[in-house]
Amino acid sequence: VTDAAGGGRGSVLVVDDDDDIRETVVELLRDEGYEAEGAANGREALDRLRAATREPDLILLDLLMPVMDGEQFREEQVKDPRLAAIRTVVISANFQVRETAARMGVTGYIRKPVDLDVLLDTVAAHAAH
Amino acid sequence: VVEGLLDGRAIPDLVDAPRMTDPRARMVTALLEASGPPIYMVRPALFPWITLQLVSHSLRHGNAEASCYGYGIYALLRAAVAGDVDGGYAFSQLAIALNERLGDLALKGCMLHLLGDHVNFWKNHVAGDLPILERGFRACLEGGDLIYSNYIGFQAPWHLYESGAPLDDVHALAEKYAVFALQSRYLAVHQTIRLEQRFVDELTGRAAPGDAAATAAAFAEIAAAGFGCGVAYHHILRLISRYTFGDHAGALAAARLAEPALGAVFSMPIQVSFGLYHALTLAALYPAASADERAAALAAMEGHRDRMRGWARACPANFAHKAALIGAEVARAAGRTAEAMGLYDEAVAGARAGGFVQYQALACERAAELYLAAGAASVGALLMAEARALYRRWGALAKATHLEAAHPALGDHPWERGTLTRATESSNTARKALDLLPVLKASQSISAEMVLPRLLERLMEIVIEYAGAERGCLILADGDALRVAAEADANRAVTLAQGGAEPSAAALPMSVLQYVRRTGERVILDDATRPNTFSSDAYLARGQARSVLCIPVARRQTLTGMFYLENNLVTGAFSPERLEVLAVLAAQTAISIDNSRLYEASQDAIRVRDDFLSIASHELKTPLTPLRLRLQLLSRHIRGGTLADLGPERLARLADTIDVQVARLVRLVDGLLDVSRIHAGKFTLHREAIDLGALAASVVERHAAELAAARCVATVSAPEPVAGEWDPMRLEQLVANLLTNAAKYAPGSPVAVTVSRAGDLARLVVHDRGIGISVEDAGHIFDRFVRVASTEHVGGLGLGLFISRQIAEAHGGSIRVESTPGAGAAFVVELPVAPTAGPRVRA
Repeated sequence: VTDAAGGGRGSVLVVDDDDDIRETVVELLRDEGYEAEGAANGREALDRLRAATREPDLILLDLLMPVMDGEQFREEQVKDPRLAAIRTVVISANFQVRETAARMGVTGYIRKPVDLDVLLDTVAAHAAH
Repeated sequence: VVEGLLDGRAIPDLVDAPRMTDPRARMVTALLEASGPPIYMVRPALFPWITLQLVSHSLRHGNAEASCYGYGIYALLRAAVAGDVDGGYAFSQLAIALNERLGDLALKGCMLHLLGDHVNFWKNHVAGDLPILERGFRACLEGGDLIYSNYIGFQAPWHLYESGAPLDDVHALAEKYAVFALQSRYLAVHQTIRLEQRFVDELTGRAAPGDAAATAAAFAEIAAAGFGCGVAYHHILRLISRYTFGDHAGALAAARLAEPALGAVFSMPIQVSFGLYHALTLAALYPAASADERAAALAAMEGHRDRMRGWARACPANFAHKAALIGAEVARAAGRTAEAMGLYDEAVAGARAGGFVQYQALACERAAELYLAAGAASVGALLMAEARALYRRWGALAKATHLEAAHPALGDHPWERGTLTRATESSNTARKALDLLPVLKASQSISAEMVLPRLLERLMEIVIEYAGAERGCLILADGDALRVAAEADANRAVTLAQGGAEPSAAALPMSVLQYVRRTGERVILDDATRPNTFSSDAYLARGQARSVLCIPVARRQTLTGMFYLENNLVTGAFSPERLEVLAVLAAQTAISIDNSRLYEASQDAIRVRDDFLSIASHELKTPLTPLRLRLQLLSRHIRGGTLADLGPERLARLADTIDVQVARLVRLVDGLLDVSRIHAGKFTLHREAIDLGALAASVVERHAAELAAARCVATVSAPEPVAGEWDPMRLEQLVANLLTNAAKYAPGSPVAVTVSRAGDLARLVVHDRGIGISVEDAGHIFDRFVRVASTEHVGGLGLGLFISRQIAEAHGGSIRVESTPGAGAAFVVELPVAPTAGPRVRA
């Protein structure tokens, strides 16, 4: 969500309340040449998105988070015409993640514990320029 | 086909069949399973074919996870379509055993749903479905299965209804599942359960019967969702309710609407109820029907009767009385009155034996009408009074009132003042030898009742019935105090006191109760109005009670409580024969109350364990994501030959973070092991002479990194040495828990650790300036598996404070929290400096 011009790859916002998970994913994506930023919950993510001048290509969204969880974030996101079109992939340890993702109308889902190849393929599919 | 493929193998042995290894076969099986639900929705006719394919594939190639699904559905088809109940039941058990063997949590709830909702009742008493469904529901929750948990949700209340349980219990169970359906957003299921509750409300009188407008919105939502089961439930519930309240034309209309929807409730108890009530409705309309209608109705009734007889062969408990009841209606319609009378009798006896109070009442009611119509007024009135009493016992007060309106003479019948009649009857007539058989039966039915409120209710009914009492109380001892647990009045209406009220001198003779509590001996007053030892008692002095009996309920010299019984109409109501019976019942009562308390405790323990497992699995999975990602990153670089590009600094950081995640997992696992040690009573201390201040300082130093990461600045203040004999490892763990807690809940706040001495106590305080803890939370944060601040969202198992309390208490000390929300929290640990035997020390 930085304003700096990106390279050949797109930008990703990682929303997860677990510091270790969020930092790991952000770091890996930056290694791969993406612009990646983290937010610790849905509220923080919304604030960042609204403050930024350019939308990210992809949001990776955890479901269980304090303050504002993934589903609440999604409700707010689709209400905001500027944010509604951002592709969003849910990441969760919840057994029902597929059904939940379908209900939320998001682009896709990844199961926890996350597999590196799955993560990179998914991000490449949605955030590569 | 299946028999051939079984090739002589017994069904239960299939669990030991080899695993399906052929990848093609596995693929086919998985595809067949996945296509099951959509095919069921779109082309139900193909569904049996899919099932048979799954089964035959599994029999040929061995077992896979999906085989369970095939066996489970096949079980249903075999029992309900092919009529081979034992074979079907065996396949259902096989599905469950195989699912357990494969450890496949995803399908476990579904398997138990199939057995409990669709198969078990063809073979066993329908009450046995409920524990299966309860287990199934839990398994669904553990496996995250919201679909089958909701299938169980709308069916379990109906199974409980069918079992003859009190209507209030049915309503309460339905409430639990209704809330769950709403929360999980299965709105059609939610509305279906609300319809079931509405149906119960009509019977109990909490809602007006037959108000179609009241259910229209719910039904519209169910129909719009295309929820076939809900549609069928709606029409069948309406059929039963309309019939019950005498609107036979309305019942027939509902039955006609239900008929095309029956496929959705195939192989469910409510499908059977449809047959019963359809037949009863046709019978009720029979006398006024035309000749053509009569022929068709009789044929349909006979069809229902024959199907019911077929089912009764496999499970007489559930179906024989229903077959007899329809048989009676057929015989009556055909003018064979004597045959009808015999069959009604059979229906009453069968329903009573199975505890199906609603069908016992119904059979009594129908028989009463037959006798009244035949001119046998006194027998008819007796049966009708019995029907009314049974409806009341069941909780169908509106139906009882409906009977009274239809039979105005009912209230005047002497049987309704039964206790008087029977009390005098037994003292006047030669019934000296009391029949002990019903008592034995009653005592068996008590011992089968595990849930305390239901047990108390049954007990009071039975005791009042056999004692010849007008009024009775069960009073339980709670230490030195006494609590009234249940009370029954002359109408046998039982009231349970929630939590137990203290007995009041206005309603009970306190001196009698205290005497029994102290001595454990019974008190009998043949005429309490005459001078006796207890004449000065405030309650007895008012002269209301005549015959009084107070009999202890005790087990192994320990008083559980007592029955207090009185009869205010006659003297000497409690004859020696009755006392004999009551002594047997009191002994059985003591055992049953003990058992049900144990059962409740075990149920609580299971609930705690289930909560714990769901939290533990989530928490253990969380550190696995960064761990796995970093390991996979390393292995990518190793394979790609680009490891050197990462540079030594980055590599070191990768290794460190992996180590941190492993440490996190180790901490979680250690916490689990500590809890299981505490449970097993193996929590022992290894005391050494140590200084608490030095110990606290070293723990703070070791947690510097963690505290820094949370932007917490920690200080230790220990102005003087505070020495004592404690277990250093355990105290380090305690201090570490409190520091971790502060880092987690008070990030960015200063954390002050102070160690001081107050008399014989060493005091350690960990004070943060975070969000603080509310008064309510402060009361239970030291319990197991509690996490404050919107559960689920802050990591950790919620075990830290629980373990900390165990450590403090094992040292004979204590831990508490002092906090104002918003202004931080101070955890205060106090430990005796010299070892004292703490309440929880187990050497």
